[in-house]
Amino acid sequence: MQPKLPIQCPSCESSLSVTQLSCSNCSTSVSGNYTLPLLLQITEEEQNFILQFFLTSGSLKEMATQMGNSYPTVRNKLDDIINKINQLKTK
Amino acid sequence: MKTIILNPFQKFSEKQLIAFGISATVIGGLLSLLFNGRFDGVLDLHFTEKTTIATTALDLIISFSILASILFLFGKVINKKTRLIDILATCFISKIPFFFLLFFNINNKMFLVTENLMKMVSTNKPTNIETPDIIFLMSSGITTFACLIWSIALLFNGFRTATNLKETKHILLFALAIILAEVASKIIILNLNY
Repeated sequence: MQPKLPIQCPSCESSLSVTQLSCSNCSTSVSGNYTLPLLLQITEEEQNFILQFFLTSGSLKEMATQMGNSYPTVRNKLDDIINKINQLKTK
Repeated sequence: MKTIILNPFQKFSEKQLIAFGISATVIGGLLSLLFNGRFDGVLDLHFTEKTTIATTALDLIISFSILASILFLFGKVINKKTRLIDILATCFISKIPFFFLLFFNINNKMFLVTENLMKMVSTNKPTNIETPDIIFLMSSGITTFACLIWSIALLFNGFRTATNLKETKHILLFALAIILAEVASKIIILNLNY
């Protein structure tokens, strides 16, 4: 099972940030305070949607066929993600 | 199954919905000819003594055109990306529940019962109504109410999918659109008097 990247604090629900990165080869650790990139601040389902959008060259019709949903359902999902990313950008 | 009955717009493509909706409308039109039903309004079904191909076709064309035009206009206000084809699919599919009600007028049963009832009311003798007729009227009333709710649920879900409707003020706009379409279609059909 692929562990899920937590993006929200389980205690207070604030956004989490990266404070430590390490090299799996030599075990070097880098500490700091880095905010998560925008695309990592959305849910895994939304990330997969964006990935699929990219892999279908931005064809919502093809995505709709692949997902077994109607075109407006897929377009609405994309619009909702765009709105969410715009809100995260203004934070 | 619940999605297919209440919100087919989520899964099926507009081409499938339009093809199914048009086929159902043709069958519904033929049934209304057979059982003398008139769709003389966006949310109306009345039974008459005799219908013709012209009245059936004009009723359906007028009610569909008005409903589609008003919903499309309001849809564009809510979301500029609203497509006419999604609104048309919504209009066609949402009419299907009404077609089931036509079976209540087999052998002009509903027309005769209501005519009889109206005569009794006008002569102030409503107690003369027979028990099988009361049962028939009650069952048709309950079914009509269920089909009306089903039709409005289909209209709402189709409109919601077409416009990505979310806010309360947009739900109120949808309600206003339905009322406007109903009033406009009723006025036009009554005034044309074909």
